[in-house]
Parts: sequence; structure tokens; C-alpha cells
Amino acid sequence: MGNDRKVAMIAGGLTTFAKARRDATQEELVMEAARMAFFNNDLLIDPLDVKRMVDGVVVSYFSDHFERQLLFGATIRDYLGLNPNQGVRIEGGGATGGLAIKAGYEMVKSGDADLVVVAGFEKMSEVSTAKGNEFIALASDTDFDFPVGGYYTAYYAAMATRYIHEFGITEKQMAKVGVKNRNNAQYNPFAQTNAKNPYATKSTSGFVTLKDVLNSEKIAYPLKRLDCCLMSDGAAVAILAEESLARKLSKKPVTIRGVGSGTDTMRLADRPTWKGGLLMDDLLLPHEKPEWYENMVYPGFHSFRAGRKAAKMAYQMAGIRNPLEEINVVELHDAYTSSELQTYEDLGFARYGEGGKLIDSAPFDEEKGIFKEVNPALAGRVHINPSGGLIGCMHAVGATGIAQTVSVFWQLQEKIPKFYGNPVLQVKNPRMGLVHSHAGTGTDVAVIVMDRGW
Amino acid sequence: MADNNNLIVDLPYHINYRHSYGKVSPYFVGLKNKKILGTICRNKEKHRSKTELLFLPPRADCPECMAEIKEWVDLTDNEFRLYTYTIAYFASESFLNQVPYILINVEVVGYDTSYSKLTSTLVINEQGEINIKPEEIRIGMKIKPKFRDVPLESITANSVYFVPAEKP
Ligand SMILES: [Zn+2]
Repeated sequence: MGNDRKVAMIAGGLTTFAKARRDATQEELVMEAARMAFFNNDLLIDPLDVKRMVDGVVVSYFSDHFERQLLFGATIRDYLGLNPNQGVRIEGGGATGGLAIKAGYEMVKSGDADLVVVAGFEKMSEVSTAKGNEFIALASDTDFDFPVGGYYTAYYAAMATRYIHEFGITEKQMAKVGVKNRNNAQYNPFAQTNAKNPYATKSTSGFVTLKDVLNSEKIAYPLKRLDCCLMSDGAAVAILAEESLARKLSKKPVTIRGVGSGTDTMRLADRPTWKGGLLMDDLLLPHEKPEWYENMVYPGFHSFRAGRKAAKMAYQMAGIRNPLEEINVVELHDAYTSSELQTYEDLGFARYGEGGKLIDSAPFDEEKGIFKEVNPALAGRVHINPSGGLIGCMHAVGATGIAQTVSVFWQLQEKIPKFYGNPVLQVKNPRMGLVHSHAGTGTDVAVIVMDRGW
Repeated sequence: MADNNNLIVDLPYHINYRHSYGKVSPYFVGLKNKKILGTICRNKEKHRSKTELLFLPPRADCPECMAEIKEWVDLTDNEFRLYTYTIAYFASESFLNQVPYILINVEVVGYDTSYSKLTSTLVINEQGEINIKPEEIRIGMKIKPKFRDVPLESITANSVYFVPAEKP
């Protein structure tokens, strides 16, 4: 389907994520990330000449409530000096950033643009944490769910309770995800929980053990503080180009092989619980057998149908038959440790119900309560959230999906040592990467599959 | 704070919304009258599931067959079971003074409840009702609705809550 134009990513930039970036406004944060994207990505011609070729802009931010400035897309395009190019603002809750990358991809793929800047940010520190939680909760149903005391950690916790009930997942398996991601983040200088981050606070940074996660403060049963991501201030920028142009601008353009997105009901309460629902919605992946799922209630509260739909679309476009065999590096939306396990299944890295087994596949030192290696390969094959994910980096909503994309982009270019200042998290010889960006109990999910284009 | 590099000021912002509950207003009026009302679409042949679909929270229009739904069902005395739960120790600003509280989803027994697992709260220590400990809460346990007496003009979904209907 469609034309044969291909889209590649040629540059990425990030700010350090921080609990509070009091030293910069939103547009100043975006400039920080954009400057890195243009000037630090080894572009083959003068970065300002590249900037003059930009003919489309996508701005990504989640919440007018947090920002207190409507039409912020105009501020960003103006501040980056990108007028009078075509522009659009994308919003899709927690998946805003991933959907923005997809929108940038579409702008180039359609031929409406050849060179697109995708710029995302969120500044969540200007209101109290409780008010911030409320603003996020306003992205759940405000007639039926928010007024009874609903907020996002609680919705995911209620999902986790049911996930445990359906599949026998354990709190320990969840906590292991927390250990993996938080400890990875200690080698990523952009991560909010990195103890060396100049904005880090002592109580929310540094290495953790299994015991630390399991004994951390209860937030919403079964989730504890170290099972959850926190709000953040930050920005991220990606530059996408039509492939032949991309080759002129970069020695190592990363080709976007597939994009997909999926959706589900606004209210978690309304998720279908039909037996065999996965087959009914035609969501079987090529390596799966119908008999695995013909009696399984789906999606229920245990699975993110939107994530599966997004993955299936992206895999089809990219020609992926078995994700575990073909994908080497993944940045996925681990807003909660439980949702990382659930997402392994949606993405087809584990059979539904077996997300816990995938985290258990990595060698773990029970005595020390940490993985034997930093950034362990799961099933001996795939590295998931090497950057530290949301649990390690935290969640500056409109920036997150773009930051994940930038991380996978640098992984595929093998430039992690350059940008992180150390080689620890660089996956060896990665060929294919995946980005998963997710919103509101799985109302919107975007998946992007990328590989080396050189 | 006076800081030449980094000036921070307070900008308060208050809003009152005059919100309409539209065609599902009967649900909220029902809460005032100590009733739980759902809507039901009986066009089963037109639904992918081939079942009648109960909507709780109610919907005025069926997402499966796009029909307007006129039929309300009184579920007050129906059997309800706990579909899932969490114990909230933290909350958004408006609910911080109520923690810990138990947020639940409710299963209405006897219907295709694919679209109908009402979000509510469970109170496990109410005087005169069955009292249980937090660790005794079980998915599948029977629960029953109770109603808060709130003036109609400030009624919200929080006007109904649940209590255990059986000892675990
Ligand atoms: Zn219908």
C-alpha cells in the first residue's frame, strides 16, 4: 500500500529530564534539545543549512493544564526559528511523543514534506505533585471515573491486581523490572534518577535492589513508589527526512520500517471481556497460534489491546514475523513495572500470561537483589529499556515518546557511548529497534520499528 | 523568590464549569433516589458478540450498532461482584484527605458486562455493614451498593459506593 517513499531519522537531541527545571522555560528546554539534534549528530553539511531545508514541524505536548499556555505549538515553532513552515500539534496523552513521531513520518511519507522537525516537551513542575496527579487524572473519564477518586496510578494498579489474578504474575517479577530500569538509568546522564544528574534529588536517584523496590512506600496496591514513574520536566527533538535526502545529510540514517497505532475505550471500566476477543479483533501475530488464545478473555483488564494493534500494524509494515528473533533493542512505555510486563505480551516478546517469565529469563543475583549484568538481555536476545525507561528517566509526557525514539536511534547508530559518556548501555551490534509509546491505561499506543539504513 | 536568573511568581487560576450530564442525566438523578440505572441495547444480531449489551456507566448511544438507546434498567437489587481493586494510599489533590481508600471495578452478574465494569469505591469498615480486613478483599466477592445523600445540584458518580455483601 502507498507510495515507495521511505522515511529515515537523521538526528536526535534531549535535555536532561529533571523533577524541576526552574532554570528554563518550555521553549528554552526545546531549544536545548534542538541544538543537540542539529549540532551534535554528525550531519554531513552545515547544520544551519539543514535547518533551512526543514519544511514541516510537529510539536508534541500533552497538557494545556500543566503548561498554562494554549497554542504552545506556535511558541515552539517561533522560538526554534521554523516559521513559516507547515506545522501541527499532536496530543495523545502519554503516547503524545510516539504519535508525534508517527505524524512526522506521515508528513514525509506523504510527500508533504522532505525534512521534518518533531519537537516535544512537558513541564510538570509548576504545580504541586497532588495537583499534577489531578491534571493527569483529568485525562480519564471526568464524569464517571475521576469523581470517585480515580487517578492513573490507581487505574494501573487495579489492572495489575487483575493481571496477577488472571496470570499468576508476582509482585517480585514486577519489582525486578523496577530494578532493571532504575539501575540502567544510572548510566544514562539524561535520566532523572541518575545520581549524577545535576538536578537529581537524593531520595529519588541512585541504584536500587529488589528489596528497595518491594519495601518502598505503598502508592496503590500492588504498586509501590519504585514501581512507578514520576512527573518530569524535559524536552526531546527528532529530525526525520526522506531517505535519499537523509543519505546526503547523515552517514548513518536510521530507516523507519514500520509505524502503527492502536486505541481502546476511554474508560478502563469499558474494556471488552469477550472470550476469544483477540481473534475477534484479528490481533494474532504471525508467530502465534490461534489455539493459544481462543479461550482467553481479551483484552480485559490484563492486556493493552491498543498496544497489540499498534505492534501488529508496525510489524506488518516492517515485515517482522517474530519480534523476539528480529528485534534487538526496545524502548517501551514502563509507566509502571506491571505495564512493562503486560507490554512484553502485547508486543509478542512473550506469550500472553508469560510476561513474568521473560523478566525471569535474565540471570538475577538473589542475594544482592540485582541483575547479574546491567542492561540484561531478556531471553538471551532482546534489551528492553536500556535507557532506564520511564521508571529510570521519568515521564515528561510530551517529550517521552520522542526521547525513547532518540534513544533507539542512538543505539542503532552505536552512538550511546558518545551521548551517554560511557559505553555500558550500548547494545552490541543492534540491527532492529522498536519504540513503544503508550497513553492512559492503553487508550492510545504508537509503535515505531527502525533499522540501520546504511 | 527574587532571583535575577530565575524569577518565580505565583499565578493562581480558578474555574467553575456549568457541566451537563446530557442524555445520561437519569443515571445521576437515579443516584439521588438510591438507584443504580444502566442502559441496555438489545440489538444483539447487530453486535459482534451477538449478545445484549449492558452499559454501566450508561451510554445514550450504542458503540456496536450505533442505535440510540432508550431503555434503562434498574440494577439496584442485582447481584454485584468485585472485578478488581486497588488500595489507594496516595491520590489526586481533591481526594488526598480520603486516603487510604479502595478503588474498585464492579461486575454486574447476569449480563454481558463487556462494557460495564463501573468504577467505584469499596468501604470495608462501615458501621452496621459487614466489616472485613483489607487483606480479606477477594476478586469475585459479592458486594452491594450504598448511597450518599448529596443535593441534586452537586451530585457526582461518587454518590454511590459499595460494601461487602458476604464474609470472605
Ligand atoms: Zn447496539
